[in-house]
Amino acid sequence: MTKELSALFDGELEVHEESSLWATMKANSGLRQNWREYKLIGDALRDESDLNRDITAKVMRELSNEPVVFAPRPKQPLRWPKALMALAASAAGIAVVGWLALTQQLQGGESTTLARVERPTIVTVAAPAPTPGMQEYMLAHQANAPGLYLQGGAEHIRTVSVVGIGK
Amino acid sequence: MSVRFFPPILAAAGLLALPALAEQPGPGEALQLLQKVASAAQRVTYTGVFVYQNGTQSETSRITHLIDNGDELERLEVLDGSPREVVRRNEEVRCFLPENKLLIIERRNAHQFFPTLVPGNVAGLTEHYLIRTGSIGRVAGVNSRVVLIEPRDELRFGHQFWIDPQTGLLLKASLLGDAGVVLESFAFTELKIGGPISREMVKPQMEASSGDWQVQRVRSSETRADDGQWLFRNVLPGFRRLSGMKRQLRPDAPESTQVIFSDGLAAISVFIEPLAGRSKEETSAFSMGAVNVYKRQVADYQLIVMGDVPIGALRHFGEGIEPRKK
Repeated sequence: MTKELSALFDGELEVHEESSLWATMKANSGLRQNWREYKLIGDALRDESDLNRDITAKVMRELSNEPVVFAPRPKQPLRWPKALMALAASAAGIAVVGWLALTQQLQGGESTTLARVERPTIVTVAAPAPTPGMQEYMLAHQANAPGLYLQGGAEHIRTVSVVGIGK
Repeated sequence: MSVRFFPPILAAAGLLALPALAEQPGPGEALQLLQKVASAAQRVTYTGVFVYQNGTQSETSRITHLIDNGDELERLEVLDGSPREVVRRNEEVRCFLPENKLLIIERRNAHQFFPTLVPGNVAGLTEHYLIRTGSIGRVAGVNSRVVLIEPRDELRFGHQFWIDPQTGLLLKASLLGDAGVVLESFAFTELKIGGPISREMVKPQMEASSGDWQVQRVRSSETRADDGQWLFRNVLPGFRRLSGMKRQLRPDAPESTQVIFSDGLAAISVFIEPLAGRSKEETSAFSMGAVNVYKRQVADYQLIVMGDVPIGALRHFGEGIEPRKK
């Protein structure tokens, strides 16, 4: 388990491995102790001046001391910073619209309807390239990678089609 | 009086009398159909002609699939252009490319013999895809049910399936890219389901033993799903690692690894090969039809990542692959 912990420390675990290890640590105080020790060693190696200050207990204590407010919260008036932000945002909006209009004019575009924004094209397929020597990979992929869509022999069409051969 | 106020028993009788009303377009029925598709390919004997289309190109092929005395046999023959052929007998796949005078022999992973989707997985699909039944269509003379599969994110492609509800065979299928653009499709134009089909139909027509054919026999052996050498940081949501294989393309070539990931519909293969003195190459991305490929070199290894997922998703996945530090 300490091996996994060390991998976690180095950021070398995959996401699912990480989350299961965090869950294990929650239940295992020994592991948590190991974690703190690793952290201490790391800090010492990096010459940190303030070594191993475990503030967990303090934070938890302060949290439990926090008063719980049951009263409904009054609706707050729009405060100055928020109003300022809104103003800045609308100014930015004007700038964007202005810039769009300007670029359209520069491009000699006749349309001035700015409201309709075309959805950008998302490239889903890369440009084809001559692919010599790729057949064996394609065959290995199609033969071993399960798919629901091409199967029962049809999966090999990708390997032998003109597209797969790279013509 | 509206239907809503009928006593339940009358409503049920009404539904029986009018089957059209009973069709509830929901994931339940669609998932049942997909489940049927998942197990059909291994069970059903059939022969037919289908058109495969990719971009502006299309080709016609004949396919025969035969279950005989516990053997699974299939043969695919392209009918247009040069007569390319793929023949399979259980795990052994032989691919004849007459123009290149090349025969590639591949041994499939034994995993393949289990249905690719177990019930749990089919239900899991709905997390990343929106799945519903569509209209009833007729393909190659067979009435089919349409199932529409839309991705919920930009990490995968969409699908449209035309399924024979009796056998679960896919009669027609399209792979859909952004904004519903058809990237690739296949459709039977002629189909005979069930026997008798003679073994002659699944025998290769080509003879590679004679003359100047180059035979490439790929040796492969399964490895543990996680042999821990490589780290995949950016596994796409919903994708699971399915298997790993050690493989050797040629006796003189260094051993490489193939690791497969799938979300139940799309699959990604990662090939990891030692550079073994090969020259350095720039990172590149290209497509082989609907299959995108991302190539990258890292720490004296060449990575080839390929799969039917959008190039952006494939690149992100590929960028997260690195050797695990010892």
